[in-house]
Amino acid sequence: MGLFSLCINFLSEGQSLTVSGNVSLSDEPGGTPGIAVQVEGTSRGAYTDISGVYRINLEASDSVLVFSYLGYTKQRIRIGGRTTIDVVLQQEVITNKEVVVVGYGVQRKSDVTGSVGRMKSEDLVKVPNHNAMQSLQGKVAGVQVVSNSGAPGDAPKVRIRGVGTINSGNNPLYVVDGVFMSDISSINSNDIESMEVLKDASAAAIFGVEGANGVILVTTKKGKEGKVLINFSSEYGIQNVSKKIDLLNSREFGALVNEINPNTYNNLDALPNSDWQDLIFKKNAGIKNYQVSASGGTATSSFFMSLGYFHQEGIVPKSDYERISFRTNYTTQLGKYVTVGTNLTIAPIKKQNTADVIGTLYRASPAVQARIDTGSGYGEVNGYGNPLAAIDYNNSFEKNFTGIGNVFAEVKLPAGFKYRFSYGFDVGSNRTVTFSPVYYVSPTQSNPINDLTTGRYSKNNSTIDNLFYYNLESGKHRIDALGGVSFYSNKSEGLSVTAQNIIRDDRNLWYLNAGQVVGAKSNEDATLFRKQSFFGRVNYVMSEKYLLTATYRVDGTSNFGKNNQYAAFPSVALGWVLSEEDFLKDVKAISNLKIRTSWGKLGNQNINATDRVTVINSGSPAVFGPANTLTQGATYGQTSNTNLKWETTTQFDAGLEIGLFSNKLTFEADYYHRLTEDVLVLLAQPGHVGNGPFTRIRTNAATVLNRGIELNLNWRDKVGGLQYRLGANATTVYNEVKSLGAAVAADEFIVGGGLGNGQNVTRTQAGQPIGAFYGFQTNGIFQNDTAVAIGPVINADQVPGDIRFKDLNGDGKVDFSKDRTFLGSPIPKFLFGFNAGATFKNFDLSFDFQGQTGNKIYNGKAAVRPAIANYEGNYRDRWTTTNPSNIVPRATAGGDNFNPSDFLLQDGSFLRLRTVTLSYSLPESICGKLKTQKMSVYFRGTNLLTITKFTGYSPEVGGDDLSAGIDLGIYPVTAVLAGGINVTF
Amino acid sequence: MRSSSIKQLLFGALCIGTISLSACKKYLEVDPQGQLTEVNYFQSSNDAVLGTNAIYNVLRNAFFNEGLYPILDIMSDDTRKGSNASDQQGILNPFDNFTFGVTAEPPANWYNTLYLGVRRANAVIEKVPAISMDASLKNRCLGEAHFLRALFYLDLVRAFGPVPKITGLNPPVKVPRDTSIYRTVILPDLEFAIANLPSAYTGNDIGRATKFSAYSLRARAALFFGDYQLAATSAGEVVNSNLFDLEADFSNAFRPEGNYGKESVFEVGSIGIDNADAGGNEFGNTQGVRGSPNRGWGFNRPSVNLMNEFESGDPRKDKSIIFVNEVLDGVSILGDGTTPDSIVDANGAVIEYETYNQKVWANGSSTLPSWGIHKKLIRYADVLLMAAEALNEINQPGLAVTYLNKVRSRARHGDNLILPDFVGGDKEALRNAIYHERRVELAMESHRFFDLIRTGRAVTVLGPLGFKANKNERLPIPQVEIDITQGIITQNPGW
Repeated sequence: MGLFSLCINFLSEGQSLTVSGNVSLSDEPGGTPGIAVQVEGTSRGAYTDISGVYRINLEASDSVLVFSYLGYTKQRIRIGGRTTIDVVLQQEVITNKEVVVVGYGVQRKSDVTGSVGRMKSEDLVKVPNHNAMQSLQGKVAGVQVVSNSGAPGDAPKVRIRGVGTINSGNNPLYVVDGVFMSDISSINSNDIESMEVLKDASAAAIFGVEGANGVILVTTKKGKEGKVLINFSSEYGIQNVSKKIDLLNSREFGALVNEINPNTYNNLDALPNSDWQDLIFKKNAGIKNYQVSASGGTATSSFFMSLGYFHQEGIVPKSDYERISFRTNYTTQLGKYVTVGTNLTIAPIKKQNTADVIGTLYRASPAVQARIDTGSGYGEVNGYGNPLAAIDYNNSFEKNFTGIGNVFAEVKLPAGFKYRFSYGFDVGSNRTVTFSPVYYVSPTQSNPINDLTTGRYSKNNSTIDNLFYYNLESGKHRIDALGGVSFYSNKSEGLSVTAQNIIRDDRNLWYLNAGQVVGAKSNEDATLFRKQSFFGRVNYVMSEKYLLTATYRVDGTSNFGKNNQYAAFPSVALGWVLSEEDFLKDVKAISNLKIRTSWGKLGNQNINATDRVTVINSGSPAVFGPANTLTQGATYGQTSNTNLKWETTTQFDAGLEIGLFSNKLTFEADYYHRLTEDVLVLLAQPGHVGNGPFTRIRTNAATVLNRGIELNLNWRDKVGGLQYRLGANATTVYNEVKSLGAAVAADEFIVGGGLGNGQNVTRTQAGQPIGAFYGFQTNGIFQNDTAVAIGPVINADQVPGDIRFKDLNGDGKVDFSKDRTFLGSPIPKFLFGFNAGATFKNFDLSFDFQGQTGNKIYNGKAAVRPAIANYEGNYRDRWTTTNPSNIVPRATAGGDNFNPSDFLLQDGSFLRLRTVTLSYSLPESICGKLKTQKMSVYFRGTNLLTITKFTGYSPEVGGDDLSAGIDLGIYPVTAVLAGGINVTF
Repeated sequence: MRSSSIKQLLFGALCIGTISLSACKKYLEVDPQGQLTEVNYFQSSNDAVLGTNAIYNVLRNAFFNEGLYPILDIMSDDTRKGSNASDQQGILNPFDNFTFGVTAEPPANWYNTLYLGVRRANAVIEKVPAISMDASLKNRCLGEAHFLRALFYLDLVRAFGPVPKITGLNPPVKVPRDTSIYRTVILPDLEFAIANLPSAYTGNDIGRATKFSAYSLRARAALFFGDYQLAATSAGEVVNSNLFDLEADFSNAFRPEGNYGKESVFEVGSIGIDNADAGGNEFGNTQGVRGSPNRGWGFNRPSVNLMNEFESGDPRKDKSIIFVNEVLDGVSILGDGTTPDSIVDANGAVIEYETYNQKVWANGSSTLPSWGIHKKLIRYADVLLMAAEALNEINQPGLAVTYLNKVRSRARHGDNLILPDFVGGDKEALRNAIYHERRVELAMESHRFFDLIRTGRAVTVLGPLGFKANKNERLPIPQVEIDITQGIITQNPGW
């Protein structure tokens, strides 16, 4: 539908023709440079020059010219013998008829009353990853993604709008093509078309008892009508530790040890020096990602198939991860009323389970020869073991086979009804093998008998959905309704058997038959969980302006006792599209203006099926008789809670969406308020309850509040031939435990953050964020005996060089019970992301920053250790009689200087350059010659730069929420340099 | 389409919905897989026996042994931490010199594990009476449960002082400390046990608590609380049963040859496997020789002070202490490469030798036999000495001397030139002789610390090691207990 002016010239036969003309854009009079003009079906073409003029030599057979420019509708113009063709290209208007995936269906974006964040497929593959959530980091307001371990195959921790609950599952629900999952690591990111994050009650309430932490909808690619497209992409990257930790070398370490135990090392210069980090971390560990996919369709059916291969070498030896994923999505219509289809992925995965060496290599003495000529070949490292030996003697891997998918049938019924039946499944089997050979490196690092443990684990989850849809459009009114009945069952079984004296260390003999099975070390267990749900949703739109959404869901599960078996989750939302109102409709600058608000209840029932009953522990044998006979014993296991029920989150959201200048500028702001009640907490019981050390019991006890603001701003525009885009998002999180239970007084608390050495550094109590750090405040170092005499001291053993703790209650001494206080929170108060990109000619450069601030990290790995461990670089400045440091205390192997305090607490803020990508799309002419539709090559850097004050490997420290933000030796996240190509045929 | 058709459809959908709801209530009734629950347990005779066996299981829990490390001996003058200098330095050095605090791990883990034992005993005591089963088997199970509960509570009150009194299942969180446990729990438990346990067992029941285990434990408890009359009569019952005697060779009281032997009154059976669930007991491995031969971690190192306590020529010194370069069962003891054979002070006097506890020596070729060492909780030699001490205190020195000399005679092992019998003397002399004999006979068996405390000698003897009066008589109540109960449980004085 273009306007064009004609100049008609007639050709004389036999002459070659030159065609030229002026091309301009509908919103910019005069010519525009950089517009592509191509002779259709050939590789010949040209770009318009600075004044918007093009010139092309034609051949006799040329018949059509194609004019294209990003953001504008392509035009095909018949040449028809003319020598001058001027064209005006029309801007592509982004209408609000864009469709968004919502729970159990799709909705027009303009109708959406909830808060939904979107990620498109090209953003999901930006970070080389096995789990698409790693690409979501810093991209969606309200979503915090923490890579709490850099080990290949470890899934990141995801929190949406703060931390809603304590200890019993803060992970969002993933719904992949209708199949409920808790982890999407087996889904190939390249297969994903889009991910929608449902953040508020209106969007997520339809998921009832699973929706409290937000829901992430994953939609995989489907075929489109048209010719078959084949896509091939290949990426290879190298990873390196982005930052080493500054640890003492052997000379410095020896000097320090001599201060603790005089004369331990008599000749510091003769000490060997082992830099364990250098010895262990690999350089340039590879990461590979290859895909090939085919998609296409006809008017009645479509398909998408893909095969992917992903391999990531760990920078710690023997921690690799490999995944093959195969996908088939197919839909077809049978007759006029019925559509059937399937979405299926199969993924065999192989993962090497890394030896837990990060804590070891951090603490291991550097004054040890790492490798020696005698014995095992590994130098003995006191207390922690030689990490090289630990890696060598650790052989643990798992092989997984997962199948996820669904089959569905939809029937169009009369009068606007539609019925959809869907059977979804998530099945998998896993075989884990761990083999420890006989070895002796030192008395604490030895294994007298080799052993092999084989585990087999299988899971079988299935969902049956019966969904009724109703659609009615009549005049000003539009109604979309949904009613559904679902059944969900989750069964898992696990078996583990150990054998000893495997006859050879060979990998071929890692089967139980090659040794003697240890009967007492084998076990098998199973869990079965079922859920039954009824739900409905009504969307009502009046005059395209006034929106109402109401949902209601009832869930019953087998996890809870009969008293509390069913619960209901309602929600209601309103929206007003102001830009459709008469007073704004004609304001050209405003393309979209909408306000919306929602309220609703969601649930969380992520607990162990057996917590409500006391289970009999039948693995407590005694030994009697002259032949030392193992005699079975069985008795009550840990105490139970018979009134367990689920947690309920009540969420309120108010949002504003603005689009200006045809959505060149879009802005979205939300205020959220999430109150979670009946929060399940693992309460440490007093010892006299009799559950033994380290055991906790689950109770519905607490109330948690999260509230904050989300902002999302995007700007796309162009200047001449340069197109650019800018985006920023920010989230504030205010997290507070409102109370720990009605039966409990306001100053009760939950002790958490165990460091593994008897110390606990967090305390969760009313008025503080979950897992807040709790300890002493420090006030310099005692420089001399006078200072010690003045005090305040924590006990009579403090001497010059020790930390002076603050006496907060003014009683002259320092006590555990009276002088500890809250020192900070592991939950960031402010999360942000910033991204920018530009395209010029065929080059595209983009980068993403992300960061957070307002959180602290406890350097738990530096805390009290049983044997003398290495120290970080800050100990070079330790107090000695000649170095009166006022920050770092004297060298001690434990003692009060390592009490939980702000000495080991660090600022966890950071700003990270997450990705930088430079890509080049080969011009259409070359593509044509190679018979491809699109080709691009790119270079990408990931995690290239992190600005932070934290001294550990990475300021992203996850951990379970009562003990979050504690670094106990976390597998480092790496910096990656990668390159790749992408070809579509 | 007409509205009636819509109505029909909606009605149909409603029907399906309600039918699904009612028909599928059963869908949600799911029992835990592979596990019994309390609702269907303690119903048969077999359940009673299994439940009782599970109480014995706690005796092999690594943390039953004073929270994993032999802190009682380390605190006393019998031993030093052991192993090499840096091993568990942060956790155990403070016990050598009494600088540990309220958050120390071993007392907390010990406290929790003792109550784990109490819970399992309470389960049997509360649930077994209602089972219809053979009366004598029922009473035996209950007797065993009462005995073991008394055992756990005796450790609790000796180590920590008054503690919460828990005698039923599922107690509340806020329970205060109770000063009457000796009178209202330990003594009644032992009385029941004495009345209902057999004198001995046969076959694969050997190892269970007997009537005389209960008498002996009562003697130990009475002695701690200063009831010498009761201690004397209880220990006397064991002596007069004529079921026990001293092994001819002192070493055999500890070696596998003496398992369930005549000197054993109550011991913990175990299998040489490095896993408690499979029958092993970590107790031997914790103290086994470190290095060459590798028998364990090497903690609980006999001290020079202990060595000097032995009279000259006392064979028990060599039989209790492993010295570097000695040969045991044909194996040469070379010890740990990173531990100096001896440590001297500024004046050249030896303050520590690399030595190990020979009472947990296990012959074999790896650390596994160490896991199979039976911990002797009550030995007849201890019973004799308890009897002697109690009798002396109630002014019956005649019998006391007889018992004392029995122990010395066995130690002499036929050599009449050493360890002369104790002769005459006053009550004070006899008392001191018995104290000395207890130390050399029962070294490194976790008796010394409590012996010093209960006889009022701790301050004088352990003061030089760092013991502080009016504080270190008891371990601190783990700080966590005070925190969780919000101060209902209070701390011990001085901490």
